[in-house]
Amino acid sequence: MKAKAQMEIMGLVIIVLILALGMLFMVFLTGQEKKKTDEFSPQGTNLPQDMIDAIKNIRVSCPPPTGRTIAIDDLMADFASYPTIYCNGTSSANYTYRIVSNILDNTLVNWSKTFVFRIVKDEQPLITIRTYAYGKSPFQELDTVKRNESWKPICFDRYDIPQEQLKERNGRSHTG
Amino acid sequence: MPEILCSENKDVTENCLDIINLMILSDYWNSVKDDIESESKERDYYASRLGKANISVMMLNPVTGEWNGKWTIYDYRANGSFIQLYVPVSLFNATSGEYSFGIMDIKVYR
Repeated sequence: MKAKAQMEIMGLVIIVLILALGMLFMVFLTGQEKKKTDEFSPQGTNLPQDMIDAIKNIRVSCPPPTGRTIAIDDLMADFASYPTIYCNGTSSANYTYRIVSNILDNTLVNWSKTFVFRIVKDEQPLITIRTYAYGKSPFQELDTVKRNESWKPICFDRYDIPQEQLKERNGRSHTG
Repeated sequence: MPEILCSENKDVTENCLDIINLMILSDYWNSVKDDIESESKERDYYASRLGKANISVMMLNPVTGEWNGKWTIYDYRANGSFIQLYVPVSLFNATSGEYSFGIMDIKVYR
C-alpha cells in the first residue's frame, strides 16, 4: 500500500516536471518570436548598387535652351554619342560631371569610402568622375589604383549606358 | 514602409521615396516627439515593426551640391550605442517632376 502511494507521488512529480518543462519551452519560444519583431535589422542594403540606382533615377531641370526636366540617362547617352544637349550653356558631359561629382563628394568621399566611379560605353571608359582612396590623396589616377595591390577599391562601380538608348540616340543623330 | 515609396498607377519605383509622403510622415513624428508617454496607435504600429531606431532622409540638390531638406520618418530612440547605416535613395518631387538624390540615415539602437 505504502509502495503504491509512493509510486503515485512519483508519477505526479513526473507529470508536474513535464508540464513545467513544456511551459518553459513555450516561454522560450514566445521570447524568441518577440525578439524577432522587436529588432530591426537593415539587411539587403548594397551601397554601390543603391548608389548607382539612385543616380540613374535622377531627373533634373535643364535650364534654357532645353528648358525642361531631363533624365541623367539622357544626358549620359547624349555625350556618349553626338552631343546636342546644353543646359544653360553647359554641355551634357559637363552637366553630368557636375551632378555626379556633387553626389559623390557629399557621400562616398565624406564617408571615406574607397571607390572608382566611371562611365563606360562598350567596355571603354568614357569618363572617370571620381577615384578616391581613403588615406591617400584624392583623385589619384585610375591606373595607380589598379597597380597597387594593397588598395582594394571597395566600391568599384560603373554606369553602363543602356544599349537601347544608345542605339536610339545614334539612330536619331544619323538620320537627323 | 510602402506608404512613402514612389508609385504611379500602382507601379512602385524601386529605391524611390515620394517627398510629399515624407513630409506627411515627418509632420506626424514632429507632432508626437514631445509627447512620448501618450498612447498612439500609429507609433505602436511602427514600433512593433521597426523597434528602437531613428530614420531620417536628407535631400541633396545634385546641381548645386547643397543639402536642402531633412525629414525624420521614424523616431524611437533609446540610450546606448547604435549602428548607423546610409542608404542612397531617389526622391521624387511630384510638383516639379524632378527626381533628386537623397540619403536615408538609419540608426538602429542596440
